[in-house]
Amino acid sequence: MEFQVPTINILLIAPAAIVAGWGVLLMLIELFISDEAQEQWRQIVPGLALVGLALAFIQTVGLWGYDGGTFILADGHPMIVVDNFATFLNIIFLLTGALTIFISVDFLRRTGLERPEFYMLMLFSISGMMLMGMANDLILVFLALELLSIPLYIMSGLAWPRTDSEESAMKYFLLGAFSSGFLVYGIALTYGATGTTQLPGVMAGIANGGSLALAGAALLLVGFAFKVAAVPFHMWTPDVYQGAPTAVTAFMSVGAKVGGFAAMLRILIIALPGLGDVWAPALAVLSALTLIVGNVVALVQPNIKRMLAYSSIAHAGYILIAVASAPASPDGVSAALFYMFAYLFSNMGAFAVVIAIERKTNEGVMLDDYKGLAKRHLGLALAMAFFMLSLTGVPPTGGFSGKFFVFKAAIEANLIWLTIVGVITSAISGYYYLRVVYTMFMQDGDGEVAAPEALKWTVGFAVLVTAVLGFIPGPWFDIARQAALQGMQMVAGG
Amino acid sequence: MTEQTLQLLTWLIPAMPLLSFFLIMLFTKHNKTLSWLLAWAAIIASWVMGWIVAFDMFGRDVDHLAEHPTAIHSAVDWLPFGDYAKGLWLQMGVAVDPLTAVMLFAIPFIIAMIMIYSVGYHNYGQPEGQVRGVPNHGQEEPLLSRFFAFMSLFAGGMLTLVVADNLLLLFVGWEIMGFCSYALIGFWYARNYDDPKKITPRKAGIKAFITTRIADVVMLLGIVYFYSVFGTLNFSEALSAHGLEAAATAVGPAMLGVMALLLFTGTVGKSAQFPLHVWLPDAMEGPTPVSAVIHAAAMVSAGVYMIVRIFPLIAVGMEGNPNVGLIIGGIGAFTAFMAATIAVAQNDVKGVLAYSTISQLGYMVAAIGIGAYVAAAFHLITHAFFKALLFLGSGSIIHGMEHGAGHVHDHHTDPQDMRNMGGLAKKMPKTFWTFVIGGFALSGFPILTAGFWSKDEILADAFFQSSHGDAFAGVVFWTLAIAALLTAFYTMRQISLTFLGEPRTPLAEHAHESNNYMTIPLILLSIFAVAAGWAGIPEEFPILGPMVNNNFFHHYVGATIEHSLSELEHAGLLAHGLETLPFNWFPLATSLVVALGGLFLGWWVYGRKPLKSGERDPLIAPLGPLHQFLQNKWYWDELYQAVFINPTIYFSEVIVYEIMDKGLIDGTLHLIARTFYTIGGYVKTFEQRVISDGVDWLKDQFLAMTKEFRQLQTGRIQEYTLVSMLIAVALAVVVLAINYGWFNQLFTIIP
Repeated sequence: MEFQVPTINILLIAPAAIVAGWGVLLMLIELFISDEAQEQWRQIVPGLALVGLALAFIQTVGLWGYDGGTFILADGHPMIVVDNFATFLNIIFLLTGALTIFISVDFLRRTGLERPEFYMLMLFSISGMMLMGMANDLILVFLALELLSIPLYIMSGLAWPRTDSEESAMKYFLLGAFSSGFLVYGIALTYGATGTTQLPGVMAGIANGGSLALAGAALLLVGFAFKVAAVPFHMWTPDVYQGAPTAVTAFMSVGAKVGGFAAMLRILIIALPGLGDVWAPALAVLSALTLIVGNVVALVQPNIKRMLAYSSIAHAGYILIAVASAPASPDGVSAALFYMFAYLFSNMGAFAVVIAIERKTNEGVMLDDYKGLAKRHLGLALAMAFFMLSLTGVPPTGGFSGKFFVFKAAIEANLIWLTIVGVITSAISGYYYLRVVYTMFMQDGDGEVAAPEALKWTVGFAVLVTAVLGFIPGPWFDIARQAALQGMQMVAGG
Repeated sequence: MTEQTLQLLTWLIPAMPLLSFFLIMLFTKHNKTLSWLLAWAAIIASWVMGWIVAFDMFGRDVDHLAEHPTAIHSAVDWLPFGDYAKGLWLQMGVAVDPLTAVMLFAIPFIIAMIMIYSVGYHNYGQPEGQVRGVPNHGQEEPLLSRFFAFMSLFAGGMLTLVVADNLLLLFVGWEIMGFCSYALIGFWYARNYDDPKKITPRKAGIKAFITTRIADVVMLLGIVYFYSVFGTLNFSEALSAHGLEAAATAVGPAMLGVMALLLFTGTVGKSAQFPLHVWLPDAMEGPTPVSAVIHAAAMVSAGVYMIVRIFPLIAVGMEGNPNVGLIIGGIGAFTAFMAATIAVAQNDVKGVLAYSTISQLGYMVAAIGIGAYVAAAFHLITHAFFKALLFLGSGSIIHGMEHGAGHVHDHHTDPQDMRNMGGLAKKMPKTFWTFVIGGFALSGFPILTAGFWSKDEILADAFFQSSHGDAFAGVVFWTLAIAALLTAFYTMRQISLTFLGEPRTPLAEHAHESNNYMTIPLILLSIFAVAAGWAGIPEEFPILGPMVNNNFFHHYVGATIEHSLSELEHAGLLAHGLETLPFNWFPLATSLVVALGGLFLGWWVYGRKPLKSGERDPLIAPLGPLHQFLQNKWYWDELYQAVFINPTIYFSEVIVYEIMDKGLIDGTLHLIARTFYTIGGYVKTFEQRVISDGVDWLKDQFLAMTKEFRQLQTGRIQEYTLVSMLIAVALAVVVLAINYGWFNQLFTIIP
């Protein structure tokens, strides 16, 4: 087998390349920063990182509507696909990164965690997430997953030598490595069954793959279930989310999850549609378990971060409903995409408020610390209440619209029982989300609130987007549909 | 003016007050001046834009409008409903047809007037009152920003309702107004009265909210049914001849009538029709501008607006069996009559107007019931003008009386009781003259006032139909005629008691004219209370008809559904479409007699010899117990208390709480608990003896084993991986099993 030089169009991978390259560039520059200038350097790194994200964002938006691939091998299949599906997800990742920077600058400074490598690691992780959505080859999926994960392991341990942060990093790393094992094994089995790692090739060969292909698919599923924190592969999530610095938790809870779903959707829809009869019911069961466990266990959490961790597990369940209905419903993928977009803003907004309340690392993250927030800082309390309503799925919020589309897709796919589970668990979730609102508005308490301008504007922006998604979801859902449509077209085009 | 501009303006009309609500709430609530300026700016912008759109619409060719009534329409995709391939969306949008245009002419202007008035009413510029949640007489309202925020939100809701192109958006505006009504009735939430029987503002707010809620739930059912039958909520799509034909074929005209009744229930609640009228008189506990805008001009009229809007549906329902028209017309006529009789015996200056409002709304509903939908719309518009004027006038009177109360330091005499007034004409000339104009318009004073032309049209419609053999229309005609007589009578009574004669208390003695903020809106509104009627003079009315404008209103608003009605007639769904009434002297003479007769009687009883201080109402003696009955509002509140409220409380306290909850459920639970407690006792003994020791031994062994692992890490991570591993293997097995159909029997639940 001789090596063939692939055809490369650098503009198409520019979004991911800019982000990764920018991270490398910042690291290189740091080598030349003298000790005296370190302080100034720390001040400007967040801004520089934002510039990188902004450049990538411009290029990403410019690619909207493009449908093609690059790194084209001799047999005509691209390693990387750039279509609306990938572009839509890339926008989510870049926004996640930008919002994280806005809410974490003051937090990191306050908690003594201001280390420039935080921003560089985040850039690397984002580039990994972006590749997850663009990958058209199982090998690349694996590489992207590692690129996504390894910086996150380090970021979780950013607050060393605090033991909970170290514990968080260690657990995340071990479980991450473990799940990578599943994934690699799944890839290997799939390769064994079909003779290729390219997604279109896998799709063509999977039908004749027999039980080898099935086992491979199952292991791939397990690998992604770890990454998106679906029950019963969720056990690392609460410990990791609780221990990691809150800014990292915010970033992980959206970025890593959406990254996992990006590759999961791409592989399930493009490579494994032939096995839809098998994986859709399995995902439906996973989704029901995730919804029940995530929402029920969240009920008893007195720690906000841990509560949001279980909540993020529960939300993975809702997205899984959409994925499970994707084979039978034309709106399954678009519902998942829309849900993730809405979830990004609600969840980041909620974490921004958590950060404002958190005094030192992991102090002030209990529910009791939210007592009387309405009196201390009405704006933040109102915003938090709005995010809680959105996460519960009360109109007129983005969360409601997202759930509406997800349930609609599930009903179209005839997954009535799953819809009922989803609706009932949504009602249950109201209990713990609204308890936060109750605590903020109905109980008295005191404590400082650290809300610098950047954080306030971020919260305001998140409220605005969540409200817009709730009031006029139509146009945005149309965009998600366009994104999903191209993702699906690859199925037809082969 | 291009279509795009008009569409944009139509979107902006409700958006401006909504925006000002958010701005006031979020940013300017600590600055009263900025708050009311914002509210003014927003509503005046809506007024200007509303008039631009309205006059553009008035200028359009009526024949063309009859073909395409929805001249301005703009909608966005809101939620995808139904088939993906067909790309069906539930759309949200705004539309302007002739009916909307006349509403846009009246409503934003009236709300703007009331906003201007409110600044004076709340004593802006005086020293600030110190107590929140109660009226601070003569002092600046401390919660002025909140007041203007809610008024703006209300205006946004009302204008949303007016421009909505579908039933759901209309309902959204409807509910926003319901909330604002609740919040503003209870605006003086801390107010208490010495008399425990007198309803407090917060209770009145709750009463209004709950009563209308009952109706709204039924209306929501109607909306759901509407969607399931028509497949759309858009008015012009669903209520077109084509849409109605399809629906009538699918479920039959009778079921369309049921749907119309479900929706009409919303009107019964919102427009305070019998039997849900009880909330409106108590709603007068709110500040007077609130009464004027929400409980006279705008919100309560919205109920009538809604049934005018869905009139084609009602028209089809009238052909069904049971005849929907009988129910609607019956409720309307009865309400008009009942409320008019109650108004005769009320002493509260706002109480009279409240019952008068219920009565006039009954007029409009009765007009719908006999198919006179243009007349209903006409009366809706003229009534909005003169009733807003009357309420603002009564607010000005109360204001003047309160000034007198402050002057003589008397805070026990009720400044709203007309028996304490008298002789205010000299003290408050502007208020007096504008109130007389409004009162005469309400009475239907011939030729000049707006109320005459709109009332006359309803009577003429009723008479026309009764002369064509419709006995029910005859009943409606005579009921309304008597109600009109009573209306003129109690209006003259009110004017006499309030303004004529000599002051009966020191309060009235020291009353004085209100400030310009309040009197200028009165004067502007009084112009329309007269002139608005000239838009609808029948063309066959001698001299005036052809001279003025050939019944512009009738032809113009009639154009909204004229076309679809005539098509429905062709389709055989309607017996007759919209007809132009032939001119007839009889109803005209009746109008003249009842209006002039009522005014004269009122003057004869109250105005000829104005009441002296301490004198009783001259009606008490001749009417005897009937007066008591009327003054107590036919005892509806007491009846509802006995029939609905007390049984409900009894049911929830005795049956549900005492018997079911404590007796049945708790008893069962306790029994179960006791049983298991006993069993538990045995198990406990068993456990202590046998298991506990055994497990202790096991635990010790296990601890000894894990001690070595512990040093490595937290210990739990291995557990995680182990569990995950096992589950992954299990999942693989399950997936394989599904694939090979091992579970086919088990998994039939999953398609």
